Amino acid sequence: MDSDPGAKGSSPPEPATVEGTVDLLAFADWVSAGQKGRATVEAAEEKTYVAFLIDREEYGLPVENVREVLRVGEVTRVPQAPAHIRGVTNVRGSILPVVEIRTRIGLAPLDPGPSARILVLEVGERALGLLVDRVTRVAKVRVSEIEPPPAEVVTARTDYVVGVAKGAEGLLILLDPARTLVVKG
Amino acid sequence: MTTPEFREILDDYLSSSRELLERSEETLLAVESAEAALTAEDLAGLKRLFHTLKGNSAMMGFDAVAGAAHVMEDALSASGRGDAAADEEVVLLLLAAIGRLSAAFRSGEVPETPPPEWAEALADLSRLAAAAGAAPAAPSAREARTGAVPAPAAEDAGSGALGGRSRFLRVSYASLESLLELSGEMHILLAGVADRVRRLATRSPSEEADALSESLELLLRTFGLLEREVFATRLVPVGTVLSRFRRLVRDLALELGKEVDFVAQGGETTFDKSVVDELGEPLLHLVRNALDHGLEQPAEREARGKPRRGTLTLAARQASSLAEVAILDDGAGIDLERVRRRAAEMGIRTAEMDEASLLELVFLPAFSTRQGVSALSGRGVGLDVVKASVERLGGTVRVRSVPGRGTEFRLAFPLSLALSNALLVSVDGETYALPVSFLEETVRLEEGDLHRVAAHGVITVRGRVIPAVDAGAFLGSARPAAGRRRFASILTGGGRQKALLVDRPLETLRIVVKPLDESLGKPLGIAGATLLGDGRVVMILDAVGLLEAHLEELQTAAGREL
Repeated sequence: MDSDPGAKGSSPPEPATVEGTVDLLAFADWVSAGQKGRATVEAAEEKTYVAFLIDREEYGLPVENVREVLRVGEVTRVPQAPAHIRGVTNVRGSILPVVEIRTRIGLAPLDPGPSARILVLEVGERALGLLVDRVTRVAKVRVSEIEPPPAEVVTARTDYVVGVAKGAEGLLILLDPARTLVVKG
Repeated sequence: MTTPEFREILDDYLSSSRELLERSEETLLAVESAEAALTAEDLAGLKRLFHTLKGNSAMMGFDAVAGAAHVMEDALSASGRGDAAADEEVVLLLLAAIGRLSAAFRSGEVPETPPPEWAEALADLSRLAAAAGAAPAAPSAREARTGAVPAPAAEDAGSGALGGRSRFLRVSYASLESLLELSGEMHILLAGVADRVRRLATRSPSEEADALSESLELLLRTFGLLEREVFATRLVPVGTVLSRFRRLVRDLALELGKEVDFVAQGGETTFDKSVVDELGEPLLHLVRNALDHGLEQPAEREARGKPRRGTLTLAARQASSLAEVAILDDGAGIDLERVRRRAAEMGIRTAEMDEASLLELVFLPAFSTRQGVSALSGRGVGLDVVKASVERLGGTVRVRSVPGRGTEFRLAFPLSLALSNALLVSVDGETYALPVSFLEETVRLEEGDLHRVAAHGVITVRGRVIPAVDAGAFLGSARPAAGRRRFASILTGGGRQKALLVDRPLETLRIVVKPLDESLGKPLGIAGATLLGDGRVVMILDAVGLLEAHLEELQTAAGREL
């Protein structure tokens, strides 16, 4: 293809038809190129986060890393595991570790109420459950609204905080999914 | 050409070539030790193996290997006259050439042009071939094609003698793994259904419920058979691993000036695939050890009234719920006096130790170093490494030795690492699974069975005194005022015994072992996790780890992270 379909939002040229027949492969290319182009434009402007509460603060994780949101079932304690490991739970036959941010930031472990949820976080091949107080919303955040976290807030232990977004609905603390997956004591 | 498809084809080629070389080596070694001439059957078999190797290599573009295989095939035409002396030369030269090729395949770097050491090994073979009047020709394209039919090479060679098709089918490892996964999931789902049906049948009995229970029983039985078959695909015979040592024993014995017969028994015994894959390394250490330190020089043997030739046996067998492999030599045995001296150097008191405990010392790190009892040819690798790698595979190792008569190392592994029978036990209201492989029995504790010796607990069972550990202590669940435990599960393996004090045994069932995510650390005494029929996750206790751990370690394990 000669022209870059994604550039400047212009749509790629329509595939030529030869004597009334449509070249299907060229058509498929044209369709997918158009979609990719739109996605890039969108991503440059807005990101989508799953927002949740932990002790009254609202946090956000990129929606593409949240595989699913589960009700809290039986969580089995893992002997001798680090304190922020809540335990393991059964997700349709596979065993998922469940961690808590609460205990990582010095709060008492959550006594899960009916609104508590487990976010299944996925980065590459790895998956981990994150126990949260409640899931609040799906937040669209303009990239221009994201600020780096205040320097004194980010330490080696909280390097999973990558930004804050101030929107009409308050402050959203943005987490890095990969760093949230790396469990530090 | 590094697409995944090519990688797969290449891996196939590499593994089948290794197998072809191994098989030819086996035949040649057998001929060599019998000091006989090559029979027509040997010749036909070897020719076919070399021919297949040639064809496959030519197709894959490994011309150096194809060329070598061609020379080896040709050299065989010099034999077949029943002349044992003449054949001896061919056999030795072929073994040398196979050694070179095998080394290249093992290293994973198969040269594309013949390296000098190959040329050297092949030159004499070419001479033999030329003398026999074979027409030396490069492998033709036609030959390359015929040798490279899509059927896997090893099968081609193996089934040729039977003139039929192979009874084996190659299946990708990934597809087997997902079969296992699915069958594991179904196991859990079915257990859940069975649970509900049973409750239904007791709560509201009806003809319908009875019929449902009956069909379910049938379904469960059938699924049990299916599951066993699926899990059996993970079990592979250990024979190839054992016979691989024939060559090593021969070469090492020559090098050390010893005369050794190698015996491999029970090769048909099946082990979990992951055990078979990793078994080579610990066996290698033990075989070297036996040749180096166990078996004596021929003269020394004769002086002691033993046959000149020593025997090294690798024997595998299935024993109840374990798969065992033993390395046995009829050598000098372990010198307990030297063990005592070495222990003294390390500051270990041995005065009160019995023979078995003394022998156990050889597995201590740094015990069997160069100065130690069983230096491995100065490689600085001790028996502690052997023990560690066996334990990583869920197994145990124990040693027995009779001075002047020989030494035996016995490795025991659970039959299957993925599927296991386990006893559920209750500890402080939590449920844990204890695999039965190393579980001897679970006994009810009576008042006065539990004693304290210094800081440690022991129990007495029918006159035996067994060190005991409270399960709640290392699981971190013990409440300060925990009552007396009423049951003890007695673990036995690797020449050790330990009693695990629990509240009560629940039931025995089949479990699917799942590893713990790495983020959970490596809890002492925990081997993995499994799912019960009701969907609960239950931790699996690590019998081997518990047997090996010191009581003190276990008592403080749960406290480490607090």
